[in-house]
Amino acid sequence: MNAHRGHRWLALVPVLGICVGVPLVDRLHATVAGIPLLLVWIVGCVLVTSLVMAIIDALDRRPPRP
Amino acid sequence: MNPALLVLLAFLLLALSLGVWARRGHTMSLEQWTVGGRGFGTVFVLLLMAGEIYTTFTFLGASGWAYGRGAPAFYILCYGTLAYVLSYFLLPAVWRYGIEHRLHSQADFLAHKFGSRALGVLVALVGVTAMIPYLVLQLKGLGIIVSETSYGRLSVAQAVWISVVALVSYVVVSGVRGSAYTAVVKDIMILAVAVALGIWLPFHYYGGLGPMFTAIEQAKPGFLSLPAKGMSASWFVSTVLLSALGFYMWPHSFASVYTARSEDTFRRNAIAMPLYQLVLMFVFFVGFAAVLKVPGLEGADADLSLLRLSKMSFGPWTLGLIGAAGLLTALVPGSMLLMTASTVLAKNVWGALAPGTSEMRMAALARWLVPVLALIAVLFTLHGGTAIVPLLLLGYNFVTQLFPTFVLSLSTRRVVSASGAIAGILTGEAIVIFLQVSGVKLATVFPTWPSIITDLNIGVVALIANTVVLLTVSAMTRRARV
Repeated sequence: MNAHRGHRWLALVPVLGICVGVPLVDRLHATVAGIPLLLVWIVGCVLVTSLVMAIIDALDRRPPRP
Repeated sequence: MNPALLVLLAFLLLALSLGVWARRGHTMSLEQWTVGGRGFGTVFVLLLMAGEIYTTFTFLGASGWAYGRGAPAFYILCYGTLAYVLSYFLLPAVWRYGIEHRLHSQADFLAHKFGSRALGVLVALVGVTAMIPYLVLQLKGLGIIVSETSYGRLSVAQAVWISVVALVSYVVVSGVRGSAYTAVVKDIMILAVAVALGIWLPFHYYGGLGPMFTAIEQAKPGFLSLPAKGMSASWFVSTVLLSALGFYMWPHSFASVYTARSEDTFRRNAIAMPLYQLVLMFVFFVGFAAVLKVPGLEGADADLSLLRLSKMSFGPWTLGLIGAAGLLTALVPGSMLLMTASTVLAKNVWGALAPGTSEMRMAALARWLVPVLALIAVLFTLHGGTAIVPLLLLGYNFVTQLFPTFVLSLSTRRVVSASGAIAGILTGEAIVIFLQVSGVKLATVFPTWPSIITDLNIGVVALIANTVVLLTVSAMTRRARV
């Protein structure tokens, strides 16, 4: 792995969102317009995953610096 | 004829024709039959891989979990998401190595990586042991869906036999092309049905999603949060992680990697798949809508919640469409399971025991095995009783035990030896079987430990033991060689 691959650590964002975020959000027992915050959070994590993977993919495709 | 039955049979016929038609213009060598000549673009690969998410288990199970257990059901939406993150980094390497060595299966991959035919045989057998019960699960689901949505006009046994004949026909004729073509119809149907039901039912019965969840929370306080014990946050996180690791260890998912034309496919899929599986959210909504409308479904009957609520809410035409979507969610994964199990038995077991078997012979053998395996699965489905249930639960834990060997095989340094891999996998599987058969739980062995530890998915224990044995034996055999 070369120095250009630092952005790949972004992949940890969804992992942390689910593995750390879910237990914390669950404790709040909150709702958003009646919908459980836990579900809203998880759906948010799924959307962010797609976004993060798109960013990683775009950065991976950059031509290598000279 | 009952309109629902008419719709069901029309879709079965459509699947069969598409599946058979998929072959046109191709001679079915092993290369075409199992991996579609490695010529599939992003959409086909996405649909094949989505076969793993939208099975009858998700159609009936995801709604059943939401209905019966509440918030713990959300884990189903999480593990796939993390598996896609992993796939971005792992699958391109699997694909490249497959092209270099003309591989057709997961057992091929590991046997090649370690230069060990014995490991290939072991991986093939582990895979088949996990796949047959999984196929039985699909057929059981199919039987329930078709008999419920045809208002009992077709019995479970009739539904299973008719569908299996169609399934075997197009698998034998077209192989993975048949799966890919039928997957197109299946995904259009399941998308339409799940989204329509998931939006319409909450609005029709409760006036919206917010009011629905409020009513559930009032009737069953705490149902929409993770429980403090049992399926707690620590169960949730450990199960999500284990399932994410096991996701691509299913031999049929692994093999679908080799159908791709280019490795870019997997990077694009890692972006698209998380969004695509949000359909599951709508399936949850159906299960939640059923909580107060069709109460009283206990235990395994919770899986009937979607069908019962649909039956109560719609006429026979609509019910037939819902049933057709359910039928297709069984056929597509079913076809991939049958094909993959036949391929690994022919190539990685028979081919290893009788070296020098030509690829043409193996292709012929694999196609002969399709009806044989299908027959075994039907017998288990109709006459297996409850004996099959523990096997079903084993499946996921079984394939997950392949992950440590797999991921370490991608490293450029040779950390793992073939004997280490075999020892590790055998240890993991032995523990999985023991835990399943004995029913031992961490909470019963260590009653005084905090629930944050004892609620951990017990599969973690097998995976850790597996990895420790794998590394230890590898270190020992490496030193012995020097």
